[in-house]
Amino acid sequence: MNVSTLRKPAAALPLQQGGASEPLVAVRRGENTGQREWSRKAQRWLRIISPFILLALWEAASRLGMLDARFFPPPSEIIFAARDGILNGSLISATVTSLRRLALGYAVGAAGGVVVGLWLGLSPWFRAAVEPWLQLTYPVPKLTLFPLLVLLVGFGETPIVILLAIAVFYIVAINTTAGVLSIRPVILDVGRDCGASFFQSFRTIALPAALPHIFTSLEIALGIGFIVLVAVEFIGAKTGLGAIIWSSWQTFDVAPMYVAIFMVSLCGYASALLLKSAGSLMMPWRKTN
Amino acid sequence: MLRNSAKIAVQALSKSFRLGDGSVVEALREIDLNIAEGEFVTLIGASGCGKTTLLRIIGGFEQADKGFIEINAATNGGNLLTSTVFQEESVFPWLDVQSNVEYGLRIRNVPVEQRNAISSHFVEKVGLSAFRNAYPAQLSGGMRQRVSVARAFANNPEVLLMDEPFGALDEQTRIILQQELLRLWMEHRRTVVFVTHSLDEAITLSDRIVVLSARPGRVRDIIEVDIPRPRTVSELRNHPRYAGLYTKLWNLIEADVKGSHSGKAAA
Repeated sequence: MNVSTLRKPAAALPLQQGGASEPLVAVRRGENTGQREWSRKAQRWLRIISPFILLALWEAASRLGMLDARFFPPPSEIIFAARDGILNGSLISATVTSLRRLALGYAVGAAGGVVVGLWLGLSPWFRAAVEPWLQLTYPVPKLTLFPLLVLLVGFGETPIVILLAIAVFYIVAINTTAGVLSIRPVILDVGRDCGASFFQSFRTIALPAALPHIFTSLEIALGIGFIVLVAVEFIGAKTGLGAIIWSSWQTFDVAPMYVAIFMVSLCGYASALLLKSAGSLMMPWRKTN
Repeated sequence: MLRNSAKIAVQALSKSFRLGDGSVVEALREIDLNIAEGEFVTLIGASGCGKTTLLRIIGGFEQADKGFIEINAATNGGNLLTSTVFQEESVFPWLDVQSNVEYGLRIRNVPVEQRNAISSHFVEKVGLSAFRNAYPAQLSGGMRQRVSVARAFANNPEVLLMDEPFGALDEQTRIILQQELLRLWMEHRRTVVFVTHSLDEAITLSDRIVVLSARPGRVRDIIEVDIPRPRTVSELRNHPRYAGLYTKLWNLIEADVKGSHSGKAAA
């Protein structure tokens, strides 16, 4: 707040207060000067062009030799690599392979996590029986299970999908349980009051009441899912975006690596958007305020 | 089976709670109480006298340590024995007004058309027809409590339990909702057990007022409210019997209220 805009000389009127000789000044407030709207617009434009400025700086620095072009090729070169990858199909097939693994593992893990999480939250017996070992195994970095999974089921798609499912399951189950446990007791009392069975409370109260927690955990699990996916593809797969990233350093051909990294980010961004709109579709009561 | 002809018979009911620090608080001691079919009974008493506990035991939410409650149920069955309006906000934020009102009917698999008819009726009765598709977040506190009242009536229970349902509302809204409750109850007569700490509300609504003593809660006295129905909430204070009843109630609980205030510092 700038004093000069508040105390406009033009708006100042000399006033006389009963008997006092000192003149008063009327200070005007709340007048719309259009300044706020202008800065809001400018900020919106800045948001759009900011990444392009960064890319332009990168391009210039790489071409002028300020960046080592072997490790930081100019963006234009990366775009050519992306075009090649799309035209010869290698980029598309790697993306499809990766996304299929993630979608399968994510769906299994999320569904299991929601059901187990709701059950844990609603049933003290189940909680007493299952929660201890869930909490004990939760801190285990899930990637460390990959060699064991390979021993159990062999190489291929299966251990990757199982590992993703496990990683997603823990996050969703634990957060869903927390969601159910945070339901106000009176809400569960209403279920009892209306004669709801355990399964009816499960479906008509615990599930919708925990949906905000569930969707938050699904978003977190999505991010973790991409990390696990790429990490496993580094070592455990010959196909997929992670495999492209890992193999390109061995051939000192870094452009495809950047393309694959960008593709992973793009998929992550798009799927997070998808998840968000699925969330607002399933929770129409939350956007009405 | 039933020991007497009352709708609800409370028999030598006692209940204690163990607090977090291990101490035991005796909430109710040897409560005996009969409530007749179709009667509107209010439980009143100083804070912590166990009136909500008694209501929750009648509602099946808690168990007594000793004694029990018998409800004289209709033999045709099907309907809920009790349905409760809670003091806390208890509408489901994920359901719109109409779905909230018909929640209990859905749980009992009432066919859709019948369910819609019943819920529409009660949504209209509490004056929320224009908001039938609104979510609770879009409603005021008073409107949300109307939804709870409509839900309880739509459940068509044999006994309606109300645990300070208007306690959290401002006075103007409270007067309106009391009047609506009286009108609704006159149309859909049934036994009501109503908990309040407002002397005015107790006189306004009840046939009989059960005054509980402070911890442990015991029945101190039962006051008949001999003011004819239908009653107009805003004019009831002018009724010649009102002041006398108010004074009588206050004299019965005054010592407890003062005691609970001086005792709070120690507890």
